[in-house]
Amino acid sequence: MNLNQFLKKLKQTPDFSENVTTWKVIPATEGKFAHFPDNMSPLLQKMLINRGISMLYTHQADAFNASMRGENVCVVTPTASGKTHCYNLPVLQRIIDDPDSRALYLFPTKALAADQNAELNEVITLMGGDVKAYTYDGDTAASARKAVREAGHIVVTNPDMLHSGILPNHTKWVKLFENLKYIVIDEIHSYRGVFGSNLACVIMRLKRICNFYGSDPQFICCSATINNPRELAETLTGERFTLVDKSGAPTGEKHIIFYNPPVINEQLGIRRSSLSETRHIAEQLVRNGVQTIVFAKSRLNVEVLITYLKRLKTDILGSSPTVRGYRGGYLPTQRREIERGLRDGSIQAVVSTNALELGIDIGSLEACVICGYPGTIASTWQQAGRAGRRQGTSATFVVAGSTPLDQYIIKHPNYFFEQSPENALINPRNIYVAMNHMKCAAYELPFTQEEDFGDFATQDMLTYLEEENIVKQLGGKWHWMAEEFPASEISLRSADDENFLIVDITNPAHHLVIGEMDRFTVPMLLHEHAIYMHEGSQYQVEKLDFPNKKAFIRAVDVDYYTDANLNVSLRVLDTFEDYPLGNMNVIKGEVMVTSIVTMFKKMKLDTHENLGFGQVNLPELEMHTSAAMITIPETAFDGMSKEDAQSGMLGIATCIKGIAPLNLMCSAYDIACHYHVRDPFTGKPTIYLYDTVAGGIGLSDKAYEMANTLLEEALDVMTTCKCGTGCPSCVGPLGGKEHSVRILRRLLRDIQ
Amino acid sequence: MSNLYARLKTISKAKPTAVQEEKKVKECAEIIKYFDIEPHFLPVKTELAQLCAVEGIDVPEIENIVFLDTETTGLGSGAGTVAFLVGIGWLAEGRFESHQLWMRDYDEEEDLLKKLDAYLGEDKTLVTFNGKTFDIPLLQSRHVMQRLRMKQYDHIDLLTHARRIYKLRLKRVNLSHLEEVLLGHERHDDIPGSMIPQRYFDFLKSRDESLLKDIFDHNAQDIVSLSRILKMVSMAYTQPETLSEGMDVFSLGKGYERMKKSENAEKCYKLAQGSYRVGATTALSLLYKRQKRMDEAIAGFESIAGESPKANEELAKFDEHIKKDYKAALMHTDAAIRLSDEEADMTDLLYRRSRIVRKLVKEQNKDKQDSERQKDG
Repeated sequence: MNLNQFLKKLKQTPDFSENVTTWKVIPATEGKFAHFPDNMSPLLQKMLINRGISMLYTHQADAFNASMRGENVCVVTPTASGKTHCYNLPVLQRIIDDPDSRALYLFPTKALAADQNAELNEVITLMGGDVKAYTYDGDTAASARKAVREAGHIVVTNPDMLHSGILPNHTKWVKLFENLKYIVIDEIHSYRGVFGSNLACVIMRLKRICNFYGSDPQFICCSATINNPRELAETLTGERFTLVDKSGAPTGEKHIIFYNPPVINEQLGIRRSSLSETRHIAEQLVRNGVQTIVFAKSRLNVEVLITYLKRLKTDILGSSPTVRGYRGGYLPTQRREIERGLRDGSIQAVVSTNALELGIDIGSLEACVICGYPGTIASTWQQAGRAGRRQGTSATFVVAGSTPLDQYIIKHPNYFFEQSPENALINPRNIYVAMNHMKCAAYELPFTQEEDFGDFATQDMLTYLEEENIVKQLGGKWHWMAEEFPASEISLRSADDENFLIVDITNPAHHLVIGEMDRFTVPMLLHEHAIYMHEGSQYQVEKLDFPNKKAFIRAVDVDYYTDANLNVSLRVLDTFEDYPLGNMNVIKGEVMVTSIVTMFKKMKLDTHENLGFGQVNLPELEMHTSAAMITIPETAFDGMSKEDAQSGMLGIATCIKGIAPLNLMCSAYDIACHYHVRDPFTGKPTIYLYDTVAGGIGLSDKAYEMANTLLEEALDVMTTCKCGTGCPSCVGPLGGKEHSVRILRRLLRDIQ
Repeated sequence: MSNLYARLKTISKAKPTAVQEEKKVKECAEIIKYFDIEPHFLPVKTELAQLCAVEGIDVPEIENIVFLDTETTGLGSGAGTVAFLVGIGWLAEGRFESHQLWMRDYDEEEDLLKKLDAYLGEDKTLVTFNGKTFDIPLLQSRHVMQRLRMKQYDHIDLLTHARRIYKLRLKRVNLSHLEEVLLGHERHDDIPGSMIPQRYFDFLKSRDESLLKDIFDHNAQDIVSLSRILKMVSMAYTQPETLSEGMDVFSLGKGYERMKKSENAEKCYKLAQGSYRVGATTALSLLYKRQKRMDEAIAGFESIAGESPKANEELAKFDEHIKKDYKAALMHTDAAIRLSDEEADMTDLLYRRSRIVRKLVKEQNKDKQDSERQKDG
């Protein structure tokens, strides 16, 4: 059965179609084309013709023309629309015109950089001529680095390497900086949160260095579909941009199907799990020979789904489909192999975390099953974009989970289809981030007394650094006066450089590193006795060597998986401002969030029933971030027992956490909610909303201003939810809805 | 940094009206010293020939050699590390003359670098210790920072050679350790290199020049030492027999072998056989083997069988593959296993052993069959 027949049959299957809340068909569109621009070099035209391209898509031509006019260009394009030509063509044109020209390409990961460098070199080979493009990152051999520095026309790297390898050593890159004409930043939508704030500062440093060598490069930025691509590009680079967002690429017919797992317990509002429904849909697709990508939200769910799909028998001979997993934590060689398998069709299904959301080239698949709403409209479209060819039908199934956010989206499809995708938020004014980069910048080149670093109070901050004996003011300049190498102490991503190695010790003679994991996930998935799943195989963690960042695992065959409980506690460090709201008080401040895993559950595969518990002994992890706090008068609990008050507060916190992402226009992972029935700092019952990104990205500032709306909407969700005492879609499965409603009514009444 | 906001507020309030300082090139400071050196510590041109051949540079006139050592504000060669003191020295009229250019503050750097370039002029040959990876790239970086360009010079980095010759025996090959062991010269009250950056920062704040005295002494000693180490190293290349330790001659031989200069290597190994018999003979025999001089190789290995696992292993290979004498091969393998204490080698040896045993059993079975067949016949 091909996909069209399959969809037709699905529509006629009542068991399936009665759970579909929306079946939207986006019709195919025709491509819009433009002739090669007159000023495009014959070499480039020849290359395009060699690749079988006789005309450009309109957006490619727009990007080329705007670049040639000297404008900074921000290109927004869907997956598989020939995005790379939008920057490769103007850059190569410039190098053909003036062979001394240089360009710098930034990709968020080494994998993407390697991918794009390979593609770029293919283009160069077809074009002929002596243009050299190299990757420069942690994997570049020491012996090759000199050649890259001196001869590379195009240096393909990542922000981390620019930050700690290239900028601090700019005197070794004179050729590049003196002749830098283009800076290409791809996938700018991935620079959200603190990573984005960091990149904005790195770009400021880059521009200072360019200025020192007398170059003034143009920018070309590419973004997936987000609401504010131009604003993001401008915040990241501090430049004005021309937006190119009308894609000329043709698209095939696209089915978007919202599926809500059926309720199996009316009273408790419990639905069948999204995991098993996803499994069911994916199995049918694979069985029908439809190449499918499945997105799951956690690494654990990825591994569980792989296990299921691998068991599938696709023919009477009992052969199983080739199913692979793809997520952070797999080694690069393993990932490359999977990407190749997807492109050449030898892999029938891949189960991935959002790692495959980024523009890694895996070709286009026919169907996509998303297990649980990804948290934002933008990433849902990104994931859905993985299925979709230029011709032919594709389908995306969004299988809702039971969280308030999932349920809201699945029941309000218009919200999803009519709302523009989220803003990618970064806080360019994060002074902690800026102070770090100001140190790096001072190391790279003395600041002058007149110089400004972005909008910051630069001279005051330098005075601060002088008081800390890090710089010295002399002769109108601030000179670096410390032994340290500041870039090595600053990581652009919150926990990226502290990865743990996962070592398979099943064969004692042959210890094998099979993957790595960031330190914040390690306590959840690699605590001792955890069942760790890798590529669908089960391993038990035998020993977790926390100080040396290694987990030793051994292959096992068991019928359960483990799920760890994360305990979070919170301490106020500082408060900045506050305002009264009825009898409540709303406060803006900074908090220290401590998280620790103390125990884990054993869950049976297939049935997900609880088989027992185990203890975990691991150190706690700390994060400093910004928060909004709402203190509540004790009188709101009048006439309630201690337990009732407790469950009422839990319900309010759960509900606010659920609806906050919609109001703050952010991902569900970027904001967290916490409560204390009696808070040691405020002395009152308190609800906290905090940024889950270290240092904060401004979400809690927004929550601080919207406190009233958040409380009102929470009450609205609770009172309109059809469940009895509470369900996962409002106050959570533990119930106590009546207490939550009572408390909220009292609080909101006091405001009027 | 949690009180960063508060600190910045205070700073902002207390800010005085900025005083524009006059921008002009300031002259750096310079210290000139003379040292009398016993003539036998000084290299002469002919002695440099072999070393320069190894370096692939022309043999310089002695007075065109400049010894150079920097003192810096840090260990990296990134843009924030500054060479606040550049010591250079040369031989002139039978004595050693050193010039220490140093900056009393950051604004004297431009002048320091220009003076340095003036002293170096055109066709000097630099001699440093670790200068290829540290001092010279750093000075080039400083030139770029001051928008100047540094010339390229012939350069002998003594660290490369000291490592090659002395590392095996001395383990550590830093300059003061070499002086102590090779020249019998012990430094007193020498400031540890790791303290130098902070000492200079302290001076910048206090302006107390006496803080720097230790650094000036340390640097001057380093420069003078360079000339003596140059003598030692160039003699080692020219006349390996003057090296007092067999282990050093052996190391030099290894170095020559890596440079694909077999003749020199062979000569060194032979010299080293006197006091470093087993190691040198092993290396020499392996060299013969590579040159297909099998008789000499086997004779060499046999002379040290039972003393070096490598020799027994090589004999086992020869017996197994060339002579097909599996009994002898087994005996040599077992000897090698007894002598070896490297775990990695052990795996290989055990693998070899089981293969030889298999061949041996096969051979014996075949013999048995043959003899039975003869009996039958």
